[in-house]
Amino acid sequence: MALQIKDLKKVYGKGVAANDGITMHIDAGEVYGLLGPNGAGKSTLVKQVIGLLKPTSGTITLGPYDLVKHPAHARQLCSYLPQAQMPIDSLRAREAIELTGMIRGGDGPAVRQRADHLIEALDLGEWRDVVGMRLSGGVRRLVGFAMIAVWPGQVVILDEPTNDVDPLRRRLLWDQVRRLADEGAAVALVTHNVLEAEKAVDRLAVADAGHLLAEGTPSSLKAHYRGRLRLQLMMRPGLSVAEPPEFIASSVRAGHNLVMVIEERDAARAIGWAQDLVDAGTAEEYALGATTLEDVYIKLAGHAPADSLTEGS
Amino acid sequence: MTGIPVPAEVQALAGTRSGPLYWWASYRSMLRWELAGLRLFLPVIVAVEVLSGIGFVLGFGLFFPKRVPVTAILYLTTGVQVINLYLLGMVFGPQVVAQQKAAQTYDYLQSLPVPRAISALAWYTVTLLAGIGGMSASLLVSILRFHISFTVSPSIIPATLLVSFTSTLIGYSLAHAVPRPMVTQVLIQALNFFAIGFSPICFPPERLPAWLATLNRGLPFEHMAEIMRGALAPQLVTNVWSSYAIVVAWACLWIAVAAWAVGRRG
Repeated sequence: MALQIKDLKKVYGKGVAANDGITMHIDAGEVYGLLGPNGAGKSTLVKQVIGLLKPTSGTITLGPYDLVKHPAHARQLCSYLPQAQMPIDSLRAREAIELTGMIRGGDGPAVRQRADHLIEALDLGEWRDVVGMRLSGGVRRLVGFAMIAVWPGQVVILDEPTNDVDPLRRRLLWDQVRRLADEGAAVALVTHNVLEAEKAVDRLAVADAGHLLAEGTPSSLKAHYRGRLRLQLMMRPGLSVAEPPEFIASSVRAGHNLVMVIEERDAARAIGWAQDLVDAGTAEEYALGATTLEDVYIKLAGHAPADSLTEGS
Repeated sequence: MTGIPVPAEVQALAGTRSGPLYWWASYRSMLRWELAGLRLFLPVIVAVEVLSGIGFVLGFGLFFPKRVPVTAILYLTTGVQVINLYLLGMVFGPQVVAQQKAAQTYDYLQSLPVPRAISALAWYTVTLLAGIGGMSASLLVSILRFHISFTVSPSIIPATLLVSFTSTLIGYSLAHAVPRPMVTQVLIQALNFFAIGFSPICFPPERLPAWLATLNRGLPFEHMAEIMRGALAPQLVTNVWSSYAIVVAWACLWIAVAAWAVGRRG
């Protein structure tokens, strides 16, 4: 069943439109990324899908189910992994996964079997019987994911699922996210982490100020950047580039990083310029590479996502 | 990594669940969830309840001179059961909800696919279980300290269930209805202040000014004490059924508030 959202509008009491005419769909078997800065309206959108907020106008349907009219159906049909850690301080990892599976309607033996497989698949075996309060943030996050994946709804919403998770287990987690989609769930991935999303999603949307600014496959969104490269300079603290050369198509500063887009034909000039800055002590290092989804995001949202510039550049 | 069985829901793209079997399964699993989630906290709560049950009896007993009339002792010792159950119901739920809101897990818990009423019922069960220990302890200490005997009737069961239910519902409703836990706490403190200080729970209503006694006749606190006295010291109660009716009416009102509070979408 596909999740269909049409002309969704949510205006809060003070007249602020957190969602302003959002239309999108997520098909069964699809991993869909929802990207956007803080305040983009992602959480509001998610809360409407899972039946915790009522839209001001617009529709949300899942197959024959009207999720706006029947929030109880929304809760049964959608699984939600929040950005915050799960409330499992007193619960052992396996127990938390199993109990959630049963709350979601799974029967005992099947839930236990599936919980065991997830513990194995996410490499959580050594923490199987450890209570939540003794788990590290990353392991606890994985347990939270397993609590969702053990008996998922038709729609699975994951809000920053890889937060605090180590790189090796992140791969295992992404495998399981894909598996959820392969099993027929419509998976919505809400994240700031553009580079991870690029690898994990089938389609994505970039949201800001209550609107979807763009939607498509990662490659279709990057089409605008074909023939272009990304030049990233790590500046010395307190220093900046006084006047970027004319061949810089666009640039954005995020912390000590200056991320720029250039044409491929200007690569040699750009390297020379960047090396000069390093030699002069203005920059510490630079990297030149293919444009990524992050560049699309920066162009659309107008600024760099908080936690992604340091990865993979 | 392979061979993870596919849950029927996903495989068959099944619809929604409903009916008594779903409610029962939801109740069982939510009760297990609540009990497991409070595993570290619940023993402390029970211990505090037991100690406060004992403390109320011994402490309030100090108000009296050495030779205390039996009637006063019966008012005190039956009223203490109500205060214990009432305070637990009023405070426990809001405390847990405040913690959920602070830890940002409230939305997740509200998104669980369990009927709201079943979720509330599971919470009520937890509160009741936690309260029974304190109640038993304070009854026992009452007997030992004051050398009295209660005329325990089977109505102790509905009386305990109803007092605990109504108190739990008030706390539960306020916790979910008021967005800011701090405001919930203030409201509850005010209610507790009135209920314990100015409601005839541990003493007869004649001790109050006439207007306050009249006001209390319409509120649930005095009647909670009356139905508890009806079960433990029936000689002190004239019309327990009207007290049941009034407490049930208040419970129904708070059911409506709770249903609104947990069912509303902002």
